[in-house]
Amino acid sequence: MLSDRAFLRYQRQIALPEIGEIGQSKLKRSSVLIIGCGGLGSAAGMYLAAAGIGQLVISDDDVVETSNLQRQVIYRASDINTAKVDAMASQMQSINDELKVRKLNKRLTQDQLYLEVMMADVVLDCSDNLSTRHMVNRVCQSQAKPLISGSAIGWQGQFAVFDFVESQIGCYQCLVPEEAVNRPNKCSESGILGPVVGTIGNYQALAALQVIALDKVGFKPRELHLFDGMSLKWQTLTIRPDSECRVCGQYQKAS
Amino acid sequence: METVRILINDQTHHVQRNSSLSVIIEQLSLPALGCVFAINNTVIPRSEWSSTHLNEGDAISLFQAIAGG
Repeated sequence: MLSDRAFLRYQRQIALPEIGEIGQSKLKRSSVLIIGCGGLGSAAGMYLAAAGIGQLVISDDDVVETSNLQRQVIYRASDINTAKVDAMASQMQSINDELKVRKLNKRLTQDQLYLEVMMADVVLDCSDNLSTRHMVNRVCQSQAKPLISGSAIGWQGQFAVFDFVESQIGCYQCLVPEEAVNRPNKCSESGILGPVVGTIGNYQALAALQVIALDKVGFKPRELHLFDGMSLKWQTLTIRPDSECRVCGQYQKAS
Repeated sequence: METVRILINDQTHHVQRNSSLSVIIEQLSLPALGCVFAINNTVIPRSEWSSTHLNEGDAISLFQAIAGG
């Protein structure tokens, strides 16, 4: 049961028939792991905090820098040189004092990540590099934990949800084989606009709220959504599982 | 040599009939490293590039997988 205070706070989303009091209670009982507190994590974290997620676990080893403020809108000028997890936790709790936040001020090892994923209901990949993305994919796939993946650079954004509920749905490795890539395309090298990364972060928050609060999500999990912030167009592609994928494919199962 | 017309990111190209995706990548010197290829809005897994053949009017989407966040 929701308290009167919670009912008042969340009445506009409780009013959505797909959510209602039951969905709101599910949000309250849930825990979301956010890997990376940059532009994606900023946007997603604020909306998830506001929406009444019970616990957010946030992971990042950076401090806030002046050049972050143009797009990582959860931070304030007064946060410069503060650990991102500290600044982000404090802002999220000022949005919603009912929120519990656990801060992981480090890059997680695979073993640490495994435990954190186990304790989370949903994982948001808001990281800024491919090796982290592949590690998060491996761990989420191994536990069949819903993974909401977003990325952005320049004017472009990419978004995909891997729910791993069905077998052979495909995974991040099917899409971007790890061995094929060693070139980072980080914001520090390529430039990025705030609203582009914010759009993708908001998509991640929206998908997370659906996965947690609804019995059935309204989107197809095996789709890759490409956003072009110049033409303002989205392209939707179907992801096909790679039968030779070393993370989710037959190769893995046979060995 | 019989050719078919295909689109790569909305640009028309003519390639030999029955060319595989990997042959087209090679012939047109397309970037492959870290890139995702989709044909008619379905992503083609890397292990199927050599066994996937292009037909008249097929539309290839080619883009870089991005990691920034």
